[in-house]
Amino acid sequence: MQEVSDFVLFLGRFHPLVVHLPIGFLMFALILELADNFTKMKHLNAAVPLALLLGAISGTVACILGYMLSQSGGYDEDMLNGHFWFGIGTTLLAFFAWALKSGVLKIAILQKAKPNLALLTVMVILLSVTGHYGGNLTHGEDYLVKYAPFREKEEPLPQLAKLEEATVYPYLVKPVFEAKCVSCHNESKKKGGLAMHTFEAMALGGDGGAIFMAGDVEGSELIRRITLPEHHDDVMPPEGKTPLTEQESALIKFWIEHGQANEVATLGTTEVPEEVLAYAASTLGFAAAGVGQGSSEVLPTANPLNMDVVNTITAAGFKVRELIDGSGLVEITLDDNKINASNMSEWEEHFQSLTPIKDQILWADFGGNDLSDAIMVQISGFTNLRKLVLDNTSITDAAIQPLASLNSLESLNVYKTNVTNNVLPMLKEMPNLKKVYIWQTQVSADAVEQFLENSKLEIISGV
Amino acid sequence: MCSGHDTLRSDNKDLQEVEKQWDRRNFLTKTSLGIGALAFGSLLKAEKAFSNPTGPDAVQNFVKNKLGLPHHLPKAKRIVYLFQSGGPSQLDMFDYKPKLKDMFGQDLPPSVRQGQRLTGMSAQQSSFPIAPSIMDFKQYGESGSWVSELMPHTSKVVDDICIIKSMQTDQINHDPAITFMQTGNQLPGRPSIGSWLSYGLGSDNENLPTFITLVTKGQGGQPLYSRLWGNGFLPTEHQGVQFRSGKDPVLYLSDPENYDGNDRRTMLDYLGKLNGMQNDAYGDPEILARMKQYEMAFRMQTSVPEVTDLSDEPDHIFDMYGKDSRDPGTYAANCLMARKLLEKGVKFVQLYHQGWDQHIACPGGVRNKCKQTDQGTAALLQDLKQRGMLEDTLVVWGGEFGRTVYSQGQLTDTNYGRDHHPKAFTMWMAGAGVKKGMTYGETDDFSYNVTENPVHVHDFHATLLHLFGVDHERLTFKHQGRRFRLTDVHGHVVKDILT
Repeated sequence: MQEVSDFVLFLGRFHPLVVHLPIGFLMFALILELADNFTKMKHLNAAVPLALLLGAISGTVACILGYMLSQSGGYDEDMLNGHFWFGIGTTLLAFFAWALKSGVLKIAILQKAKPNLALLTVMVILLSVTGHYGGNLTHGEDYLVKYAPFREKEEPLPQLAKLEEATVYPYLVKPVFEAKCVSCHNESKKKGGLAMHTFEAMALGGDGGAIFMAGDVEGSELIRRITLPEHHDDVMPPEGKTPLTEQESALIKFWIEHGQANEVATLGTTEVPEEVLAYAASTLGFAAAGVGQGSSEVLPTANPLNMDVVNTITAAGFKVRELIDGSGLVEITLDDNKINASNMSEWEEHFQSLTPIKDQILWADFGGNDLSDAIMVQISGFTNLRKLVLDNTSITDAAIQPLASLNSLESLNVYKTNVTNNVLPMLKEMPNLKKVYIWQTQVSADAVEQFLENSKLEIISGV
Repeated sequence: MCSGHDTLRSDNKDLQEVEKQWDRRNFLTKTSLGIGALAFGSLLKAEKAFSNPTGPDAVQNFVKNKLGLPHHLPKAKRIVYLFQSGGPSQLDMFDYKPKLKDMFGQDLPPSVRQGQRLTGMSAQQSSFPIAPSIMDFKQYGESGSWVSELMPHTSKVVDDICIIKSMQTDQINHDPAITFMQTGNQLPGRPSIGSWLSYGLGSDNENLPTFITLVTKGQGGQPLYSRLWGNGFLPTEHQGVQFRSGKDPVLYLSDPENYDGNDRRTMLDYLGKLNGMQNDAYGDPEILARMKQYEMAFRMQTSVPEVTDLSDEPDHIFDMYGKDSRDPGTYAANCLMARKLLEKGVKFVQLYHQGWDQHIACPGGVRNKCKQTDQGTAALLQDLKQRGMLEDTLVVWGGEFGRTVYSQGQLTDTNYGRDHHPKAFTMWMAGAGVKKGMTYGETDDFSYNVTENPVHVHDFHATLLHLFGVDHERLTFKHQGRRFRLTDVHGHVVKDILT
């Protein structure tokens, strides 16, 4: 490509601005002509030549600037040609129409039968075609109809069961490129000779060669461009466009370094940095995962909170708190001294009202209350329960037995209850249990010591 | 609407005059700038929308969080922040520097100080003699964390805490530094950490304030201002409430002499109706805040005497916290009170202990401060642990900055002073989601510069919010045309110390 002076490019960039002047003028000329023909506002006719002349002149300027802009390169050749010739055609026609209308040019055959209306209509059609080409050049070919109701819908990617199954490029990287890069790097507008709308096109690289090298972050031009300081001349996306977020940059680095920059690598095939995992989880709808907590713990997926159920539960006296906004996962708590022997049967019913959300309860605190065996059976149905606080309650060993079914339970607090040494073997049946609080119970220090000889549980008694 | 509006108007001429000053129609009549007035009207609405985010009424058992919080699964439900005001000497407590023994009295090398700004209190000194700590240091626990002889109780709980030796702040004087530590900015006017949490996450107990401050009585030292627990530009109900030592923990809660309080509920109901009408007419969010506070105060008439009464505590608990704990208003008693408040669902309990400003006679001064606080601190930690509360309670210990390795004033074998030092100091965190038995960060041989894993105040704030399930970049409040954060435009979560 021959060198083009900066000044030409500078002027060229005014093309999108100036180009709207002839559009307006010429459209308005047609409207004036229509008004003249179909309404009583005959006096408007006098303005038509002026509108046409202005349209023609500004059209000429737009053509020149457009030619300058085209020198910057990167446009689809065919489409650019179309735009070029239609633009010139429109302008010439505008001059011709002005000449006719103003009487500079007199052609006898055209003086009859509303010739100007037809001429102007043709002109506006040409104008529209030119504009459409121009729009495609600037925004990409699928811009106009991308969200049209009649469009052919793209096949959505299949829903993932597990985060690890996500292929990095289609699920994560491609959407980033589509949002941040493709508007200037596509089939019809290849800035710097680069198109990024498909993996194959991207792999071909741009004028400067390949944009990424699998496994080599340092050597990948793509990474250099997206991580430059925001005012740097070479930064991508260029200043003024939305830059990539830190997480998105990290993702692309990860894809190049560990994903081998191909289309098939999945999150499961390699060790994924926490930051990338967090980003992946949140964009792919695994938002409930322990984001950034130093582990890739995955939370159970839950339905959104059913407000009718919540209202029933809270009316009964439970407090409900959503642990992550919108996740449907909740903590259930009960104030002290709500349940006693006299209202026990009532509360046993209230606990039944928790059943519809039993899989959504992650933490529960019923401390400071009398809890019957029937209530404990209800609690044992909270399949995803992780933290259970039963301190200062009336429970005994028998109450702990049903809890053995809680496979997710990590922490159990039975401080200041009547449990005895007999609960220790029961604790072994809970596979995920890590901490048990037994201060001020009948559990003896000796029994704990003996128990810990072959258990990794952390048992916290008094200090 | 209009008739309702009219019934509010009083027959009293003077009152009508006052009301006219705020009358909407009057306002519109007097300002001929119709557009400006419209814009103003929309501003008022916007403010209303922004200022009542956590829901209509705190007494509900489920409040949909309108700010979209928590962003991720929290580890912490509540926090107790043991603030040691004045700048505790990290050199005499946690940051063991054995090499200094051989450098006693030598001038601090310029390569260490690197021309750093000093306070006016020691900048004029002709020399900066190195003052090694005279305290005996040992490693404790399975973690082998270094702690000095000054803290025999804390040294027993090192396996439960994460000591951060690489704290850094931007401020070198008390007030800006403490304001920075508590609000994220050195200038007064920003909301404190507790106010942000109250605003973002709401209350867990409608009978007590979400954010309570306890100040050790009779300590003197650098002054503390209530703005350190203030709400800044957040709605007023999110400010911290100071519980005082002595007979009335909260002023004016108890009934005046010769009044039995029987008709108070009726009085408040009528007052609430009046305020409700006022609110319907003007929509000023502060009216709602005031109504909430009246109701809160009413509930606190029962809840506060209950929670501040330590007489039910058994002797072995008092023994654990130390004999001071029987004397209300001491640090130890406040630690015990803090545990009770946390048990009741108070989200943020902030203790302040003043007097850690040892410019002169540092060894004696620090010894004295440790004596006042060490046992209470360790006991609180253990007490939370045995009750199972440490699991979701974050405990934070620390001051606003550290102290210098060089002696301010004369250095002798047994005595030295230490000036303020912002570039490296020690804090510790424990509980909810924080790794235990860990020492994080490293300083140079002089405890002057951080050499490894610096933790800036903004990072500390980001980490604290993170433990509550809050992304510090997304908890914002729009004020004066921009959205503010606790961490301003800074802060990184210190992931290394998280479980």
